[in-house]
Amino acid sequence: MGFADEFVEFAEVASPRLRRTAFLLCGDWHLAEDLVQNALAKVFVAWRRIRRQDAAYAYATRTLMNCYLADRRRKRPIEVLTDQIPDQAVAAPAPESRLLILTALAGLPPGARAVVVLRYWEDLSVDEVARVLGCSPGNVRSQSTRALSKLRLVLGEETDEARKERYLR
Amino acid sequence: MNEESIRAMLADAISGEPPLGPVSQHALRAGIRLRRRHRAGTAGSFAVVAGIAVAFPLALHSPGVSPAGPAGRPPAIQERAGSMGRPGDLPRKASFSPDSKIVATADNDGTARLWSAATERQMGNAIRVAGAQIWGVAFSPAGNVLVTADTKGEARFWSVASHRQLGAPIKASGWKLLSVTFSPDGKLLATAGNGGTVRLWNGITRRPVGAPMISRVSTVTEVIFSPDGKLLATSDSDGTVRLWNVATQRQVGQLTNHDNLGLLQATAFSPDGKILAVAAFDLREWSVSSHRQLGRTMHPSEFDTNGVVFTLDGKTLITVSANHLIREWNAATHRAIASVPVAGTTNNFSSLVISPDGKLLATTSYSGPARLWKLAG
Repeated sequence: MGFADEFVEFAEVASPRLRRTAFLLCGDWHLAEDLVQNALAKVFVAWRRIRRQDAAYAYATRTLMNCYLADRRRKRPIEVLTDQIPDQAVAAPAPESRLLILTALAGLPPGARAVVVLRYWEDLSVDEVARVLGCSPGNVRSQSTRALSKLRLVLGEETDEARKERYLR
Repeated sequence: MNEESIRAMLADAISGEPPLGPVSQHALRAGIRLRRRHRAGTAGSFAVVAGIAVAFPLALHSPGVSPAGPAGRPPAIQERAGSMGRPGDLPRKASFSPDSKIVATADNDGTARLWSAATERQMGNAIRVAGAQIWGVAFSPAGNVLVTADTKGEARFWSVASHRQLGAPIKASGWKLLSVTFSPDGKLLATAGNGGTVRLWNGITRRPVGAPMISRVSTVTEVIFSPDGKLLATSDSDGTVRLWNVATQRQVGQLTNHDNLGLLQATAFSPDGKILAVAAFDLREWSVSSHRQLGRTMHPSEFDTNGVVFTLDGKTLITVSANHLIREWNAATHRAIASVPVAGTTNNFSSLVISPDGKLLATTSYSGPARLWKLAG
């Protein structure tokens, strides 16, 4: 398989996942797509070195984080949310619950938001998150604790019933 | 609300995603252009370098601040090529001697080491305490004595020249000591650490002075004297900074940043003693007399601000953070002046100190040895 084809195949597989991560960070699907495109372009430049698939994904995530944290166009989800709610969300839960977590994320500093998304969406370990973001594992832990406290404050404590009703329809 | 709920909510939030555009193809085309630009040797955007370096290039994109800075002047900070130590070294803290010629580090292996600031070479052997790890180091104002604070709760005195221990240790605490410092006149020594206790000691006789000063939390991470020696500022593990009158040993003030959900990282008095800069997640200046915040909060980084110092003239603040950023701030207007982009994975900074002569900075990091930086002007 040609060099470029190999990259494109990787990009096809990786981009949906990367875009979702980017969306959780910036709350805007268009911006998320831009970020992923930029990140993947940089991945291509390094492609010869990182062609092994699992290394490529980690590299792509790291590059995406760099692009996101550096991007001055970072929007806060609450500003653009009204554009994003589709008219016919057949299986999707009520818009309010999506609004809730994205609003809560918007209240976190970008670094803390990145930690939350990497740990609880991408399911990376503390060490992996530290490697992606270039900080210490201790920093990741303290960021996580702080972020969860803040999220709890914003989201409020839910009863088990309310939670089940919301998410397990 | 536990982690599982958060996971579920995040998974939820992405439902109803729109179809993906031709991202892969566009990325390929953009990547080819980027690669061409890089090969042509054009600096292009910093993004090109970011794509190539394995290092984390966050520093190169400091939002809103170009290397020249809005003030239009280049950063006053220059990287020095070397480092104090070898790649495996991981000092936690660094401290300058009063003549700015020696740097003491408290290393990850529990020892203290002395380094020549000029040559960056280790001076003599490492200083070890049997059965304990050294966490704090400080020079006496005369510069001939180094005091170490260790995990056994003891403060020990060492000859800077011979590295031999001088006299008996001070049994300062039953708990780990984290911070030790001399008063500017050398007459007092302050210790702090686990157990939430801050104590003063006679610098010569090593006997306790007064009663322990108790914080309401279990750990005091740092204690510093004001430039005139009349106040102490202590950093609690819950994010509170307390000000104490040294003579009466009574608390005279408290700075609580309710927005800061976490750890204090560093504190620094201005040279005139009127301002205390406090670095946590963000950076704030506080009036020492009124205990109120002065001016705007500064945001050096998306991550914790791990170190802050004032320059000698008090006009500039310098900060470091774990995402490879060193930044300068106008101490009066709180505007960012410049950012120093630092490449390399071992420059995720964990602390910062300035030499007494104001010409050098010393940084420690999470992944590498301590480094020195020249300060111009």
